[in-house]
Amino acid sequence: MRLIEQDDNQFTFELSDQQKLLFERILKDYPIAQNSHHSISKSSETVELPDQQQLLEEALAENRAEMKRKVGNFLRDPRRFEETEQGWRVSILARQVDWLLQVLNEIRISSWHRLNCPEHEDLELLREDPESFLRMKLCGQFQTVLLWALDGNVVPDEFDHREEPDETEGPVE
Amino acid sequence: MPEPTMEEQTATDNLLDPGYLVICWDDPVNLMDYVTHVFQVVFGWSKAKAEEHMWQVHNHGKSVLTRDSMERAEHYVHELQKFSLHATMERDR
Repeated sequence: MRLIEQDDNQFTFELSDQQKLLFERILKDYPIAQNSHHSISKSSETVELPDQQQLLEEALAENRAEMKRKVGNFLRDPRRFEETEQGWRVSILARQVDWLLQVLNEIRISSWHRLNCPEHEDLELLREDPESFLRMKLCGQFQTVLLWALDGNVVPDEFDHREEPDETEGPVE
Repeated sequence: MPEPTMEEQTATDNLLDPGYLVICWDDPVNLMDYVTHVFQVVFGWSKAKAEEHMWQVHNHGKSVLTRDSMERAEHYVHELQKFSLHATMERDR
């Protein structure tokens, strides 16, 4: 997935067939965890802030419902993906990028929790829980593409997995 | 107009007293660019300031993002946690 066009209101990315499939699949799975514990405070004073703790949980639940609604609308839009000779184009409005990042990050964090919160993204985890590991990695890659686009940058090569032209037949010295 | 009771006055003082720290804690899963971006969105900071706090989180395990009233601190924690950052509010003693 890579940025090919942008203006003040919209980003256009190019994706391969596989990338489109994965991007849609990941978003459709949102939210992975319905209830995760979030604490308003680390200190023992949390017990003195029961109202604040409850308000936080309500705010996060409302936010999750809102994000789910937005993801549904995003994926249902028939103009969202446009097929091209190279694969697909997806257009994302600038105002949609923040909530997409939020959604992708929540999926990434939920997958990380399912992997028992590893310190490092070791390949060993791929054997233990391939689905969670790959989902975590893919969310990170899609997030990176969006963050780089916001900064007006192209995506580093390591995140663009489309096939490169064969250069082995170049001029021989 | 009746004078506020002691309890009402204390409750109001707690809401307005800028005695709460908003702290972001390190975790190994959030991307550094993402954390920087969220700080910019939530606090309206420049990229340089957001990056400074991101590096504090990364290198020192936490960063105090702001000191504010209970109400404002609560608002910031809500916003940061919506982005899945590990943020809490702590009484500044």
